[in-house]
Amino acid sequence: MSEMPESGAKVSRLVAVCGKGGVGKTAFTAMTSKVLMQTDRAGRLLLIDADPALGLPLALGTEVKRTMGEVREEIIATARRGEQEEKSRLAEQLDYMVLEALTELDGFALLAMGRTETKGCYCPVNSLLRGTIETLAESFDTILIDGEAGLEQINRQVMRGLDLLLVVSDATARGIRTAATVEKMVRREKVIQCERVGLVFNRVNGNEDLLRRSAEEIGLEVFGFVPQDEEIARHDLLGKPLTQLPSGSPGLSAVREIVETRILDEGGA
Amino acid sequence: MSSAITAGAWSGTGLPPPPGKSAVMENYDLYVERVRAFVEDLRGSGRRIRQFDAGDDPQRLLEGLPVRVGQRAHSGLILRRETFAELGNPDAGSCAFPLWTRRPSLIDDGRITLIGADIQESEGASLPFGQVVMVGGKDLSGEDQLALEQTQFVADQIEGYMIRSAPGRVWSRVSRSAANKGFDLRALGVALLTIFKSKVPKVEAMEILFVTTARSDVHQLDEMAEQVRALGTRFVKQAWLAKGFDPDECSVTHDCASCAEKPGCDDVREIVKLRKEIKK
Repeated sequence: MSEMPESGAKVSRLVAVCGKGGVGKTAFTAMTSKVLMQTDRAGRLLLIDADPALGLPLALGTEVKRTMGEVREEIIATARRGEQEEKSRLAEQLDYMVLEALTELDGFALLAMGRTETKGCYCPVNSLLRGTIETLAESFDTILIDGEAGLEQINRQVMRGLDLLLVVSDATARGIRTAATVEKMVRREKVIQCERVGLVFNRVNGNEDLLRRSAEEIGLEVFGFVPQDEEIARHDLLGKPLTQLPSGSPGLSAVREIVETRILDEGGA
Repeated sequence: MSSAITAGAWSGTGLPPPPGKSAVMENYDLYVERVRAFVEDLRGSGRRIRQFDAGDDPQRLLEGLPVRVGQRAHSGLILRRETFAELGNPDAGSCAFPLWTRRPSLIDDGRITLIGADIQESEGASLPFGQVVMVGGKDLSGEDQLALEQTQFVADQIEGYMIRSAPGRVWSRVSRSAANKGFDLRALGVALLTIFKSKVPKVEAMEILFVTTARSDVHQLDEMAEQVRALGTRFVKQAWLAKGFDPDECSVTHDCASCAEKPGCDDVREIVKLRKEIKK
């Protein structure tokens, strides 16, 4: 694993991964992370696990000590107590709390959103934290977000805009339907500002032409096919981090091509 | 413990109270003495103590400093991999507080005292960190408490020095490039001296104590800090009350009653506003 460069070229790329539950978003994100870590072109890499299930740290072989969900709870609890002095202190220490929530490893930094227990939408809290995360993200060159199926949560809690949205689907009609819904949310309903959207088929075992036609029907360009890979399945079964996949793994090779052609070559502002 | 000084000896100075100030007032002078006693205790315990004299001419303080000091001299995050030494990580222990006195003669102007290892001796280390800023100025008052507290956290004003602060705590990182240029705690002290004297012009004399020896030493300082913070809170409250604003009674008013959580949201909006003010 390469060490994180001190400062990459200031080309920020904001990439999010979404798609139906169970299609392998987190595995795809972990493999994408591995490829990005292996190249100097990605610069400083920030990974954000926006899925409350917190699968990404496991797939990366790390643990998080504190989540942004916990920070959120602390903000809400302080606000409810309503003490003026406490509120002032909280305003001062938000960056401190976010740094506490940042897990730093050799090749990347990881921020886990986690889940929140408090009921209520608490839009101002989301806005406050989103602003803090956006400020934090300015210190990085590539930001990769592992999201949920939908996009509202990324928009509400993480980032208002993206350069690239990678919609992951498996080779099923349900996966493609979800991808169509995501496409509609981005292009028609403008749930989130997004420069480019692409579809990645995961765990593919033939039928590429059929899948490509299905993608055309829903108006999404196919960015790549990640084949069914026994090595990935074995890593998942044994709980081994996907960052330890051998470089010759067919799945990883497919992800590498997507990263190089769709994220690194076309990315950047 | 705090000391209460009665009329005729405002802040223990023998000076009359400034206009509009209570004749009965507590002060930090005792804590200045306690900080000195703390240093002597550690000296007696065999801790390595070094003292530097930065001089007392604010115009010349920055001469020869290895890094830039000033607004936006630094920006962004210093990641762990880029860090030469880390100070005050929550796991290592941290404590920071300012003390002020209206008797500048109590302060050794320009003195920087370091107990423990310096940056250059600590490559790759995560050190506990105590930082006590002691300032003197005959015109200082409780109104300056907040400014002094905020000024001790010199975010983005020292090249290669990233700081994240929580009340009473400093967590900072020195970048490899700054360390390679020779940045050390003397340089940090000089930068702090410059920033304080520029931002709080009432400061006539200033000295700084840094502690990097052990979590237990920083913890001792933290016990003192708790009492100092309580006093500081009272100073801030008194300053607000003097302006006709009672922070305990103030509440945000709002019209919306459609959501049970709306009051909480409004409180958070207030935090957003405070944060914007801090970031200015």
